[in-house]
Amino acid sequence: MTEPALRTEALQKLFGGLAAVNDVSLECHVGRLHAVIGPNGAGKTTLINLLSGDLAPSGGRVELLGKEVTGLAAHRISQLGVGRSYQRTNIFMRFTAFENCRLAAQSRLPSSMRFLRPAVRYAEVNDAAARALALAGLRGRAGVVAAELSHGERRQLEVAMTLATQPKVLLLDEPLAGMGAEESARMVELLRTLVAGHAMLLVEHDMDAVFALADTLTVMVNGNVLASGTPDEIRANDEVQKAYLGDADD
Amino acid sequence: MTELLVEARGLHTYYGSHHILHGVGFCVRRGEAIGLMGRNGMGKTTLLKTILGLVQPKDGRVTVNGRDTTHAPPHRIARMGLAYVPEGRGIFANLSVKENLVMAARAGQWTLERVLETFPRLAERLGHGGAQLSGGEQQMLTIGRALLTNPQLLILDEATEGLAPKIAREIWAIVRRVRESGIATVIVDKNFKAVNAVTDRNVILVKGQVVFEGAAQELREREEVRVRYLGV
Repeated sequence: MTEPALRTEALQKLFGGLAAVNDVSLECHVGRLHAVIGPNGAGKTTLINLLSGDLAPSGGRVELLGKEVTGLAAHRISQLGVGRSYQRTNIFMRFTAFENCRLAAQSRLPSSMRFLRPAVRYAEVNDAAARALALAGLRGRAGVVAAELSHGERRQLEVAMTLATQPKVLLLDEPLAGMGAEESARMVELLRTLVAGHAMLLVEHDMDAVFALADTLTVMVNGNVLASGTPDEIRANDEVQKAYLGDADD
Repeated sequence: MTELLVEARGLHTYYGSHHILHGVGFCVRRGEAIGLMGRNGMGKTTLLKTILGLVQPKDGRVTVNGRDTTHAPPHRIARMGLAYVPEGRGIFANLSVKENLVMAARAGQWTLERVLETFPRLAERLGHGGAQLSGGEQQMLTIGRALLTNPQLLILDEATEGLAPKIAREIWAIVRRVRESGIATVIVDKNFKAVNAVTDRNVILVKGQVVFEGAAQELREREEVRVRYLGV
């Protein structure tokens, strides 16, 4: 197999005496989707925070494209090619979809943050924003103010903003949360197309989506990895059934 | 007994200049379980908030047990037996689990003991702060708190949102038990199958208007209605 885009080794995060993430080792490869599932409070979002640099690990290492990035600040890790979305929508409601994306794209080109030149004049930034919107399926909604977008479209916009930073690795925290049936189906299709060019780590409770998309699954419980494997292996795992999926099939 | 518990007629509700509810009629009979359905942004939560007095309608009328509550403050409506489990839970983070549970308790069939029997996870965490609970535990706490008010109607708005599949199933089992205890319920949830299975009657909202109202069984059989209005 090719070298992983993102790799962790015995990653750990302590909050006081509580190991929110403990001894987690995993790999993400370009073209593959790695899903992390587990009960509420298992440490999934903390894991994403460690990978994005929003939190510094207490132990272990994180490697990005073969280089160690353990403990680097979030903006550095972002510039090195890791994009993340959040569980709760994090967008500027009074900006248009395009302006939201342009702002994200500007982070790739720090000189574009200069005060004296309007951001609209940076062709490179504008192109990146437009590409990201198109990829996320929002081309026709570029000029719409975020507050006027539907919930599903706002989640798409979050993905677009993540894409505007031109990442190699995508960390997505519950992108399907709060979506209706059709919005979910659209997002699943979007993620499927994005996997091709990215290494994707997905935290999600929608099991239909997870099992439809994932190449590899890691199941976390109480900060630890309970099981790791292909969708079929995970579905057949008794411990996972007991801890997370439950017995009934509905 | 089929007496009306809640009746709303001709509700028009606005947020600023946005006209959200366009003449909605909606009723809940005693002990009845209703699934309130519709895509995102169709007015489900606004309808619930209007009934609960959290949002004032510009036009229309709401009665609870035959008494006009259209412009009554929320606490008065709550005291008439309506309990609300809101989207996003609304736990008091600086109160303990026990304090959260008993803060609005009223005498009735649901006692603290019975709630703790129903939610053993909460019994293990009585002294913990509300913010130290996992998402599933917080959801159980909000439902337990609502049950302790011994309501005539329990309103659940997206109670399984963001919960692990196993916990969501536990919540549905509890909803069934609440229903069996004779409390009326109004349930909003993304999981059509689960809502439909635990309710008697289903109501679908599209752009602030009721477009379907019928037995849960009927909606199970009418695929064209489901596909058209819910996409399932």
